[in-house]
Order: sequence, then C-alpha cells, then structure tokens
Amino acid sequence: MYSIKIVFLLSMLVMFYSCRKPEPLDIKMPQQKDAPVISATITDAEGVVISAGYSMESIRNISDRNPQGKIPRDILVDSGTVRISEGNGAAYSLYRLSPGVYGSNELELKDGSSYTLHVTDPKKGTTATATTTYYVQPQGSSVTPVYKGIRNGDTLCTLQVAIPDAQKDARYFIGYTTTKQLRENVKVMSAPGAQNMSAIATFEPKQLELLQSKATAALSHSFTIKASAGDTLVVQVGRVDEGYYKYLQAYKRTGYLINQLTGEPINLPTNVQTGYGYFALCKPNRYVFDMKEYIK
Amino acid sequence: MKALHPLLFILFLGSTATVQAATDSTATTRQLGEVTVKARSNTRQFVESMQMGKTELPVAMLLKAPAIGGEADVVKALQLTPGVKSGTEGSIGMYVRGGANDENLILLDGAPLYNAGHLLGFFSVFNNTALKDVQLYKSGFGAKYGGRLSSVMDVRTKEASLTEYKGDVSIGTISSSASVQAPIIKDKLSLMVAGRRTYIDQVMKTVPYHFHDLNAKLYYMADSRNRFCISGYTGSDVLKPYTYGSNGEEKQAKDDIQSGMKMGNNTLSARWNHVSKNSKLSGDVTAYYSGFSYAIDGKMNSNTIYMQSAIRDMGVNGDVRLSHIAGHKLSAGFQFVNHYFNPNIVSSNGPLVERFGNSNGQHLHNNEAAVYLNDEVRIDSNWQIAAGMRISGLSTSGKILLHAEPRLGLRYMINERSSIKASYARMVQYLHMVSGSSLLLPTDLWYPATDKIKPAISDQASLGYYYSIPNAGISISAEAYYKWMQHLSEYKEGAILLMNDKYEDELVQGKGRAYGLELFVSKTTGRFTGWAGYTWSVAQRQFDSLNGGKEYYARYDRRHQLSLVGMYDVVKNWSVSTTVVYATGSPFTGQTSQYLVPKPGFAGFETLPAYTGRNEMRMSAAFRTDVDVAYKFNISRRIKADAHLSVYNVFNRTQPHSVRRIYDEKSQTYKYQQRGLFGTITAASLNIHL
Repeated sequence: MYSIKIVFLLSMLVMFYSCRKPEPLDIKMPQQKDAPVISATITDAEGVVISAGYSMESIRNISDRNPQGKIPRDILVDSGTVRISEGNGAAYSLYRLSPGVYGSNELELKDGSSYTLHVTDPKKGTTATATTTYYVQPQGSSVTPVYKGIRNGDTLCTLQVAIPDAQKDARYFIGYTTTKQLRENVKVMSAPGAQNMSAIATFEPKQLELLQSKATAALSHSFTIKASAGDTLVVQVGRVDEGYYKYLQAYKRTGYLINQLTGEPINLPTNVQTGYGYFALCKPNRYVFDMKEYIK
Repeated sequence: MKALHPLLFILFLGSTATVQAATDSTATTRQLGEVTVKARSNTRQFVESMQMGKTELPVAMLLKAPAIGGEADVVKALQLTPGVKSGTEGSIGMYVRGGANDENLILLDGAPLYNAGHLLGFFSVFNNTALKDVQLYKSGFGAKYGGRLSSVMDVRTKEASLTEYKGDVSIGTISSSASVQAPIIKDKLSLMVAGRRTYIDQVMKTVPYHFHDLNAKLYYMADSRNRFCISGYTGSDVLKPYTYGSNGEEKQAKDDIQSGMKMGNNTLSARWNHVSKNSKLSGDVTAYYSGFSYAIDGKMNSNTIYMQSAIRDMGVNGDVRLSHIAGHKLSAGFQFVNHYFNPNIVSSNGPLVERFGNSNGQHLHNNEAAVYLNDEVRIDSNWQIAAGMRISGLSTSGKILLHAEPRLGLRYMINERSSIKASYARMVQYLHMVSGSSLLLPTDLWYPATDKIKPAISDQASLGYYYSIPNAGISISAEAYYKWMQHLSEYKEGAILLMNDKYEDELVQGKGRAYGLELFVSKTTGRFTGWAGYTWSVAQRQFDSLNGGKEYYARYDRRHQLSLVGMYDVVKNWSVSTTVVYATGSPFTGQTSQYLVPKPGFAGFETLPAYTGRNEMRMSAAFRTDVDVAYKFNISRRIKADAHLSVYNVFNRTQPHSVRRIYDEKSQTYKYQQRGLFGTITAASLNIHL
C-alpha cells in the first residue's frame, strides 16, 4: 500500500511539472498596399472636400513615421488630379488644399443627381473612380438633449431627434461625438505603436444611429448617451444614399462586441473601384450643445 | 496564485480516480432450453451488410483512446475516424464530410439532442458509464433517418440486467459519476440510473460553475415478444451569479458586475418493441420529449438583464420490419414531431440595457412529419440492392413544405472477404442553428425553415471497397464520396445574432459541395488493437452575397487528416495506447492591409482593416501525439485496480486555433501569430474494481 502511495504522489508530481503550453507560431500574411482610399464631405461653406490616400500593409505601425501626430505622407495622394463629373456631363476640377486633401466650392449639387469622382495620381500611376447620389438634407430636423440623471457615476442624457419632412424610403444617419472625444482622436494619432489606433479591430461601440423612413411623414428617434457637464456635444443628422447607408450599417456592426468575438471579419463595402473608403456627398445638419446648459 | 488557476484547472480535469463496484445478485441457477445462436462476426458484417459510411467500432474500444486530461469521451474518439473533423481543439464539435456542426442528428435513446456539449462543448453530455452502443452514419442513410444533412449519431444507453445487481462509481477531482443497475422484478423489470457532476465550483470558489447529468432507464420485459423501455436524461450547465471584482486586485474595478447562466437538455423517451408470434414481423413505437433551454442573467450596477431561449420537441415514431418474404427485408414507418421554439425572452432594466427592451420572445410552432419505406432485396448470392423512399414535410408560416428523399444502395460481394458498395441519399434539414462561433455557446439558437429560409438539402453519392480478415479481426475500407448541398444558411457579414427576432433578415442562403476519399483500417481482436484513418477531402461554399459571390473553402475544410490509434498489451500487467493525429490547417480570413479614413461625419479618424477573400488563408498543420500507459495490479485478493498515466500532446506542439495580430516591440511592426488552446497535459487516474 505504501508503494502505491509513492507511485501516486510521483504521478501527481510528474503531472504538475509536465503541464505546459506551447509557444505561438508565427505565420506570414501576404501584405498589400497602395490601393486608393477615398472619403468626402461637404463643408459649411458648401464646398466639397475629398481626401485621397492609399492603403498600407497591415503589419505597419502607422505612427512610426509621425511622431508629431501627422498622417504619414506616403499614404496620401500628394499631388493628384481630382475631378467630379455630374450625370449630365458637367465636370468640376478640385483644387489641392493640402497633401491628400482636395476641394471645390463650385459644384452645384442637385437633389437626386449622381456624381462620379475621378482621382489620378501621376506619381504612382493610379486611378480611382466612385459614384454616389446626392440628396438634399432634411430642412426642419431638430435635436433636443434631455437630462436623464446620474446612474452609478455616469451622467446620462437622451437625445431626441425629429425629422418632420422625412421622405418615404429615405435613409438617415445620426452621428454624435464630443469635442473631448475629438481631442482624444488627435491623441490616438500620436500614440506609441502598441496603443496604435485600430478601433475596428478592437471593441468600440460606433456612435451612430441609422434610420429609414417607411412613409413620407415625420420621423423621430431617441436614444441615451453618456455625457458630462463639461462636454460640448456635436450631433449630426444627414440623409444618405442607399450605398452609403449599407456602408454605415456594416461599419456600425463592426462595433458590436458579439461580432468581435464570434463573427467573421468584415470587409466594409466600398464604391471606390479597386479601392477602399466611400465617396458620399452628404452635408449633415450639425447641432452643437454646451452640455452644462442641460445637465443640472 | 491567479496564474496557477489554469494549471490547476487542467490538473483537476485530468486526475480522475474510478472506483467500480459490481454486486452480483444472489446466484440462482435456471435450466435454459437449448438455443442456437447465429451471429456474424463484426468483420463479416462489415463486408456483407448493405450499410456504408458507418463507423464500425465498439464503444469500449472508442473509450480506450487516450483523451485530453484523461477524460475519455466517445464523441472525441469518433473525431479520430475518417470523415469526421473536430472544430476547436478539445471540443466535441463534429464536421462530417464537409458539413457543419448543426447538420448532425444526435439521438439519445431515440430522442434528438439539441446541445450535446457541456462547458462550451469541451465535454459531451454522454456519461461513459451509461453508454451501451454508439453508431455514426456518414452516408448510405437508411430511409428511417432524416432531418439533418451530414450524419446521424445514434446513442443507446444500457438496459439494466434483469437478473443481477451492478454498480459503478467513478470518483475524480473534477467530476464524479455513479451508475446502478438493479432488477426490480426479477426477469421482468429493471432500472438503470447513472449520474455525473463536476465540482470545480467546490474546489475553486472563483469558478462558480458546474455541470451535471442524470440518466435513467426503466426496462420491462412483459413477455418474450413485448419489451418496454422508458429512458430519461437531464443535464445542466450552471454558472451561478458571481460578483467580479470581489477579490484581490480586481476589487479596484468600480463597477459591480454579476453574471449567471443556466442551460441544459431534458429528454424522455418511451419505446415499445414487439415481435409477432411467428417472428415474421417486428416493430417499435417510440414517443419522446426533448427540450433545450438557456437562461443568462447579468447585472452591472443598476442595469439588469435576463435572457432566455428554449426549444422543445414532442414526437412519436413507428417502425415495422417484415422478414418473411424470401429475399426481402422490408421496413416502413412514420415520424411526427411538434417543434416549439421560444427564443429571445428578454427582461431588461437600466439605462445601458434598455435598448434590449422586454419581450416574451417569439412563439413558433412547427410540425415536421415523415413516412418511409425501405426494402433490401437479395438478387443472388453476390448482389444485393436497397431502395428506400422517405417523404418528409414541415408546416411553417402557414405553408407545408414537402420533400421526397430517395435512398439507394448496392452491394456486390467479390468473394467472402471483400465487397464493393455504392449508395445515394438525399437528406433534408428543416432546422438551422443560428450561431457565429466554433464553440458551442449557450446563445446558439435553433430556428425552423420558413417561407423565406428554405430547408437545406444534400445529395450524397458514395462508392466503397471493403475487405476483411476475420481471423485477425481486421477490417479495411476505402470510401469516396461527393456531396452537393443546397440552401445552406450563413450569416450576413456583421449579422446581429443576439436578441434578434428578425433572424431571417440576418441569414443568407447558398450552396456547397464536398468530396473526398476515406481510408480506414481497424483491428478489433488480439493483443494489438486500434485503427488508422486517412481522409483527403475538400469542402466549399458559394453564396451570392458573401465573398463577392466567389466560391470559398468551408471553415473546417482540411485537405488531409491522418489518425492512428493503437492499443497494445505489452506484458501481462502493462498496456499502452497512443494516438497520432495530423491535419492540414484550417482556412481563415486574414488581414492583409489597412487604411485610414475619417469617421462618419468627419468625427475624427480611424484605421480600418482590409481582409483577404473569405477563408483564403490557411493555418499551419496540426500534429499531435497522445499516450496512455496502464498498469494493472491487485490491491488485495478481492480488489483489483489499474493505474493510468496519460499525456495529451506529448511533444507540446501548437494546434493552431486562431490567428492574432500582435505588436512586435523588436521590429516596431505588427506580426501574426497562431495560437492553440492546450499544450501538454498530463493526467493520472486510478480505477479500482471491487
């Protein structure tokens, strides 16, 4: 019996010391870069601004060359030719505002018209095209913050959004952020590599609400957000075309935790041929709130 | 101490001690009449039967294969046979001939099981001490089977002896099990009860989790022609509400977070088996109930949420077998089942969870029914043909979906030892499991086909060669198959799976195909026993709205898989068993690029990833060796024992499971690493036989 005990104890000892975990194995992933990346916005001064750049290898730490928080120049279309043509044939050239940024305030955007963007980079010999539809923004939309209270240290507000002139089947997005968050974004840009931005690859709820109107009637939506009295809240309400709406749907879904854990990776849809990003002409109505006026 | 938890967990997982006790009933001697028993050996049966695509290994042999942590599991052993691929390392997920995990019909004493796993699928619900027989069919399905595309796993529990008492007790550090077999009325009525429970929750207070199983079977032999069985199973996984941050450094967390979970299966089946007076007709009637449900509750500060989903089946099956017509083996039957789905019951309170709302969930009732006829015709001593037809249907969304499922089999005996078989089978599946993970999560939900989501259909053609050496107990087979699949369901990219009543809107349907070659050799008698299986296979999918409409490899497509399982009695008291497994790596979607874009509305910038086409990349191959050494000895004259030392993944090789992008401080860039779940796990166990 004594020998059995010894054998048993020795076995336990062997077990304890022989449980180990192997080192992870490196795997080489094919790297791709220099696919055109496009995005667009309309400024308050009715100017169209296009940002044009390039994709980069997934292993690259993009903060390695921008200690000052600047976007690396080699991923921007530094001196390209950018042009927007309307469905009826009219074409507008955009001016270079800064590396990778082009703009024009000569476009006369018409409700329901389609516009095609052409970007050419003579240095790299690349071209990109993308087409979108412009819609006039809702005229009488409104946003009202309502203080909800403090729950476990979080100050909560409800944002009540109303679009009285919603069109049947029209699609809208509501984006919200704070000036504090905007400042954080700038900080992230200059963060060291280990904390590099990869918001979509890590859990970050997208601050975005999407609505589709079922009829030509007033549309309303309300949702709760966290805010503090020191915040300046920026809310945007805009009408978008179907393609961009689908892009935003997919973009929003990348922020759901359950999909981060269990879902297949998502390539976001794009209307840029052989590239990434989305060319959408949308000038959302912007509402700015000094939250100390709303939070008691 | 925190770092030791996983190690201790594995330690507890592995070190089990088994005590088996058997008490003979008071011996009574009865004079029996002379009986002539005609039985074909397993190897002859293997060659002569019409059935193909069936795993012909006894349960006792399957359970001898070394297993992770010394925890023998019949499902994990079946994963070592050709045509069956495992999902996540260590889990019981089965991917049969290019099919998905929800395409396996798992029957426990005739009742379907909707979740055959415990602890995210790392343990099966089958208690080894209660198992009598396990059959796995991958092709050549008889017309009595239907409802799933890829396989049928028919599990039968033991009937207790009508004459003697028997008992088994198994005591381990993570789980204990016990079974009792007792004749209640001698030669008439007996009862088998088996139970199993883990108690890691009692050992480690920080893991308030346990699972338990309880099997019971009442067997009544009314007379020599009428037998009745009532079999029940109940099993649950329980995660008690636990407050995170209640100890040590975690206490610093300002949030008070609690979560709990309970999920489980319940089945009950009653079977009447009848043989006619002239023994020319026999039949079974089985009525069953099967239920699966899960409930999750969470609390974060003042926010509370409770979610529950359930599925319940109530069905009845009838089979009749006729054997008096010369050259024919005729069988016919019917099946009817009422499915009740009650997903997404929600109760939420608090600002952070209010968007989930409160809901009683959906209440979906569907009736599924089938009738079938099958005949095995002996044409001459060499040729035999089996033809069957199954007509199945589902009533859903006010419509009735009807499908004909033809079955055909052909066998030609080349000589006494070898044969060639061919088969064709169409299978229709009316249920889909909504899941986004390779693990068996409690949130995996079953939903019925609707007028929008069509039932999945597969057509499989197989051809095989079978050879046996009866004296040596050796069976050899080579099977080739081609499977076409229609109306397979997948999730839209970024689908919202949780708490979504409009699940139909999150699914897309497409087609698939799978083909391959399986080689199998087994030896079931002698000092050396075991089997070797090799599979070459391809599994592909094509969905118009996924991957740009291009065909892509299924998630568990693995080109080559080799499994060697050997058991050898070295000398009188010593035996060794070993498993060697090689498998081509699983495909995955890799990130190849990234790009910087403004957030919607130009609210800052962010970097977005760009990926390859779906499953275009492939992980490294997996190679693993497991060993179990057993030593038999006597503790006393009456007490015998055998001690086991088992080592899982002897060479501590990584079994790639996932790919992660990590930052490499050295190169100041990112790199990709493949990780496995387990390394070498050594476990000791002791079995004592009284």
